[in-house]
Amino acid sequence: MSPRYLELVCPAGTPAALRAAVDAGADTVYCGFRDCTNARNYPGLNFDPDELREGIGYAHERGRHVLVAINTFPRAGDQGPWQRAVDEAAAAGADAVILADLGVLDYATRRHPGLRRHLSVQASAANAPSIAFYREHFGIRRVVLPRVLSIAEVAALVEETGVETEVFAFGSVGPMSEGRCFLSSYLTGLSPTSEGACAPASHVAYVERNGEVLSRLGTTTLNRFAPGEPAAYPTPCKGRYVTLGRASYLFEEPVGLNALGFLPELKAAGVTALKIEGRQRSRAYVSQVVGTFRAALDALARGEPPPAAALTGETEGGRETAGAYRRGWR
Amino acid sequence: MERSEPPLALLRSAATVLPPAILNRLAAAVVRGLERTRPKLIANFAQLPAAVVVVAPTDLPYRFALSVGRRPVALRIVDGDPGPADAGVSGDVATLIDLVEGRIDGDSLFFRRDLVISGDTAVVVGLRNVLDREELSVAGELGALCGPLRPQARAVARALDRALDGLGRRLAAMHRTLHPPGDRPPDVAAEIDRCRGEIAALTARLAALEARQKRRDERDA
Repeated sequence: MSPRYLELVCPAGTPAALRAAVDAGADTVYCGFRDCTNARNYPGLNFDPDELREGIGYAHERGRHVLVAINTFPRAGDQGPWQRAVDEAAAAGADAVILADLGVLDYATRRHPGLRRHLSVQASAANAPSIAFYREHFGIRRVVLPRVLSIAEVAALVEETGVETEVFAFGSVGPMSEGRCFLSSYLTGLSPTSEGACAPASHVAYVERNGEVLSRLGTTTLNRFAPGEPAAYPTPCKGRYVTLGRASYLFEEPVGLNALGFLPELKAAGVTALKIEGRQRSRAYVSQVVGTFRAALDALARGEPPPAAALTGETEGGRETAGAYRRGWR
Repeated sequence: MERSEPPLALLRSAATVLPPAILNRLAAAVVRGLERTRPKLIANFAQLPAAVVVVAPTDLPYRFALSVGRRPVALRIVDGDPGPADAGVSGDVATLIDLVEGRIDGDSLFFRRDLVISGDTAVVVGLRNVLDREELSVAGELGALCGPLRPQARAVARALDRALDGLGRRLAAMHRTLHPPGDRPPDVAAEIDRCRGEIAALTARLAALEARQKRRDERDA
């Protein structure tokens, strides 16, 4: 592997995906337990404690790191699962835990002071005083920045806070008030921030009708895709709504974030790590996206231009965007 | 388990030629084999919510009904109505095998509309995730049925697959020779128009006969 240009942090929803990420060139892999303590709580996904131990062993043998996301918010009066998750991550030898809730941060700080703590994007810390608060009170070493900042704003935060920053390089994009979005709970009755799933699969339905596909969340139809039109996830922020007689994407279009084209700018901004989103995706996606970013980072580390690569086949809606990095937030 | 390209032509031909009774015996043997070689896969299937998922390859005459969320996990192959199902997945057989073997991403297929999902989405997502935890090889799992004769069986399967693939190409070429692109297809629209005209004429003639009969009946009365 070439000298590190930017740390490549990659998703793993299963032990097989973890191995795929490591084999494809991830510096670091993040994953979560099979329960409500992480924000990708989907059926059949995630790790039990034994699988986590084995996965960490696989990564460490190859000089890579594993982070454990415990990044949902405990239900009132029910800290138990979140505290157990922190204990199990520490016992399994995780290199860091990714946390969002103040109580869970406090527990990890007191109970496992030697365990590195990262601030999850779910904490939605997007300004210097907020990040400084988490650094001073909970000793966070890294903040995962919300997808609402321009590159100039990221650079300013790096300068002001002195905390490592991890930014999203590939995956979903939405009108994020991350960790504070309850849109899907109005349609499903389930909280995305405590149950760990926005648009939970149990409430999603796809209906094929005359070549069109209707996507539904609960009893609400969120979108209708014409024959051949690329489809998207049924999340409320990417629904197509009729206003003034016209159907349009009011909040955000179904597109995927791809920062492959401006990695040097992110490095110049002082970013430490790039995050690939997609623990709910397959190991085929992980291999493809991680391999592409690995090749680009290695080329840049050698002072060469990154090889041409197309990842639109992996993006939601079959389209890519630079998100807020280029245009700032609306 | 060795990973190799699935013998698609052989699988398609076997699924087309063999009767459901034999295919079902093969399916039961595959599930029994997986219980021995991949107990975690079967345990994860059993942990899913109880459901029947019907997988419908668009280019095969059969459907696969997989019962999960219980022990034993069961796989049935049916050529008619598979009965009540909780969820369905549909796509061509090559795509479905790529999905099972982890060569392709299910969400990407869905975005491109190459995979159709119906019914209980949680069951389909759970099934996809459980399969993706394993590094499965369809050819390998089928080959395992042959026990110690697996290497010979693989060699025979490869040879048969190549022969069937070649036969398919020759038949396609023969079809193109017999039906060259210059052959004009019958003008269906003109034929429909002709039939419509004939029906209209017959209807008018029937009406005239009925009217004549009615007049006769009135006169005789």
